[in-house]
Amino acid sequence: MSAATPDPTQWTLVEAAQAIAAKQVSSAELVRACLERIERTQPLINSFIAVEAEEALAAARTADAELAHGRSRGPLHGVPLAHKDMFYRAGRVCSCGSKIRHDWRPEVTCTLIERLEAAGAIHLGRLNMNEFASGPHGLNQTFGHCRNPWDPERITGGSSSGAGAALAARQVFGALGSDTGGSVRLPAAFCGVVGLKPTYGRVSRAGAMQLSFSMDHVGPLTRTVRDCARLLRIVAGHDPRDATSSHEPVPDYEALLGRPIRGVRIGLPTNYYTDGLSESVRTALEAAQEVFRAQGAELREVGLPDHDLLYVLGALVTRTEISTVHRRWLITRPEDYDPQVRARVSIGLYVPGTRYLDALNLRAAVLERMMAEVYSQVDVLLVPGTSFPAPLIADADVGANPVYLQLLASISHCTQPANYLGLPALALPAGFSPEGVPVSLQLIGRPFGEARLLNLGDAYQQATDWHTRVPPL
Amino acid sequence: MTQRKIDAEYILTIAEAIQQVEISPAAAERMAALQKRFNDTALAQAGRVPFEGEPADFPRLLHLYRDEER
Repeated sequence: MSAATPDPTQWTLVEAAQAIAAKQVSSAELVRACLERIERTQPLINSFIAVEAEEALAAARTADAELAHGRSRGPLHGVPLAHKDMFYRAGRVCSCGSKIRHDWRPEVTCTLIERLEAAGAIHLGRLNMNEFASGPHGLNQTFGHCRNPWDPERITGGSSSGAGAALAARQVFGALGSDTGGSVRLPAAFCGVVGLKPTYGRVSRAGAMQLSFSMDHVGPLTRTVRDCARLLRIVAGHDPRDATSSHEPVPDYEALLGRPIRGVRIGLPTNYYTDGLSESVRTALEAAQEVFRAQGAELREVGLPDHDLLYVLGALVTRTEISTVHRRWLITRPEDYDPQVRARVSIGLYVPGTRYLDALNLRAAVLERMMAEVYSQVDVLLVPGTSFPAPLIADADVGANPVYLQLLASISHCTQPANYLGLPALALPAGFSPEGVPVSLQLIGRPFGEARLLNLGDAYQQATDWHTRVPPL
Repeated sequence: MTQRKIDAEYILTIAEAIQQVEISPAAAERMAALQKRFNDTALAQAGRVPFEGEPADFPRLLHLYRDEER
């Protein structure tokens, strides 16, 4: 463990938890270190909508007192986290990144927030995001754009923009995001951190803002795969408050790391994910293939069925459901939306119900064909996190016009299929572009195959050091 | 004038977006073929899971095809 590092904000989540448990550092000291780092870096990246310093310090002192009396709440005892501002806490403001809900206070608390607090986590504040999680770039006209810690002129990716930026900037040790078309994995990819979209049903969504009920997933963003494994085990599992959550048992993902990957069959798609790749992403993917091959994995090329069609089907489902969720505000408060978001959430009003149901019904057919033709040959797919590194903010902040929609589609090209298919997908840092911003790879597994993805991701991180690089803030 | 410009951009954006989610006749044919394939295979072999050719099949399939290596 490198808990001897002078600056504790550089520790991983697991190292921080171990240091607190071993009383090498107090939770209050750790929270203060994070708050100091936030104070210094927030003006550069705008990752937080609100920092809750006093409450966090009070909670940390309580955690320290508990530990002094021999009581540990769990594997996150005293560790500071912060989450995308869409996970409800009863009576506390939850803006959902929007003007419409800027002072809204929900009456319920999100199940995942309850689980994290029960495991001992300290809540540092509310993280920036796209308005209503609608958009892949991380820009926000109400709370200000979130900026990429590697280059503040570039987007962070979204919609969990603050989570990606805060993790990369070493402001927090872990965060929750939501992923409807890539919103956990895109900021992870553009900011150089780890992001996991679990299998549909693996993680409860009760008390998390709804965007598209068929496509929404909630998942962790962290600095390392091991950190991700720890958070996933805490938040995963059936929740009676979410009828779509699965009864599938939750493994101890962290304990399952470190297994040999010899013989694991890794598929390299020959289509769809090869579209429009930048040179730096292509190079990083090829290098990653060698890392896995050197550890005994079997790599084989595989063609993917239906993926061009699948993107449209996913968009039909998402956009129709978003419009359903927002219909009331589109009538009563249209002027309170960012024009880009208003355009995006309006599209579904023009989709015929029959088309929407076609797209929803076909989900099973497309999944069945993927399993029969692809996952019968391979255990996971190795694909890019994104086709290109983070674009400039100036190229993304283009108002509501058709250019925006093309950009949106190109950013989420590599992430959206896993949402429609409901498959688990892990994004992790895999190198840097010549401009010095991160590029990412993505592992997509079979349903409920998170343990395998995390084991592969951890094996990759044991052999590389991309995840240890820190932006020059 | 500004308002008129915003409205025009908004309408153009919506129109463009609708095209993005529009199903071409060729795509519609492929969708029908996919559904038929599913009906002829998975539905016909529904010994393990009661598929009905409806959205509820999706979560059932996720469990049926789960990764056993855990």
